[in-house]
Amino acid sequence: MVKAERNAMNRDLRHITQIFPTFLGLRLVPAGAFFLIVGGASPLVGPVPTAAQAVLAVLAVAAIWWIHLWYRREFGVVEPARLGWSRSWMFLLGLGVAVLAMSLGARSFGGTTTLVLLVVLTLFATAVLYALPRTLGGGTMAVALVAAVVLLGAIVIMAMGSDPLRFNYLGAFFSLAIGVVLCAAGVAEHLSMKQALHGAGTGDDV
Amino acid sequence: MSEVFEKLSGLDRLVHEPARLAVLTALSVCRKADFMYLLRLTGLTKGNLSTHLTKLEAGGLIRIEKKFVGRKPNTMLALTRKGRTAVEKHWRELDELRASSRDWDPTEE
Repeated sequence: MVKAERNAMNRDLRHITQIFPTFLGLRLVPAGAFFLIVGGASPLVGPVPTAAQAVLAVLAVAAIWWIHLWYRREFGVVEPARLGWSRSWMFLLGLGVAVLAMSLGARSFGGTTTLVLLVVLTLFATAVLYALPRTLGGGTMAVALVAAVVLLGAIVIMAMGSDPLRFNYLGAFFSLAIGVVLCAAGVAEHLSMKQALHGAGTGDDV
Repeated sequence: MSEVFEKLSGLDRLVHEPARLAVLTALSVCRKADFMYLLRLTGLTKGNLSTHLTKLEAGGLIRIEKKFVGRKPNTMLALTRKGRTAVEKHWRELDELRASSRDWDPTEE
């Protein structure tokens, strides 16, 4: 192996290993599917009941966990050298904005539901912040895009007022947008990971 | 130029072998990685990777932790302090060699 190849290999191996947890993108797909189902159902059959949303959310979390175990089994585990603070904070920021949007939108559902949603989302955001480096890699781009979509949604909802009909359609649109972003980013990251691993191997035997 | 060749021949062969260098380089940027990840990363067969890891462990460059996750065995690997120093030194030496070879003019020999 010539030196130039070795240097390229050094860069690739370092880069892939460092960002490996964020490469495991299929874990984003169940979350994206949740938003797609909730957003897609609203204009067709009306808003999805809270109980059905809760069941879907539990199923999505179970699917994320199953995919996480599948990744461990098929692609192995890398424990990062240090906490990915910038990524974690970006994730938290995205969730913070989501909480804001939910609190604005949830005016249609009343104060109690809003409070419960806020508590659940805050707990979730905190759990994700601590779990992110080891388990949920998340995709930085996906998180940034979701945060942008949710922020845009919050601004539009604020501008248009809390008319329930308008809120349902806007909510559905932004839910679909988030779903598409999460699914697309998840699949793209997974394919990038497979390509990167395929190209990084030394291929040399003993 | 003979100095460069001396340096080249003086490289640590335990580290310099491509598969082992790949393993060490990957481990140098994380706290731990498991056998399956290194298998995917290097594209080696299980037997070959296992042989390389045994050599690295015997040389004191990596630490191998075997445990069970549920019912399945799991092998985690981490660089030792000696291993980290060795891989950093090795890449530094390769960089120096590259710099030296750039200045080399064969007509002057």
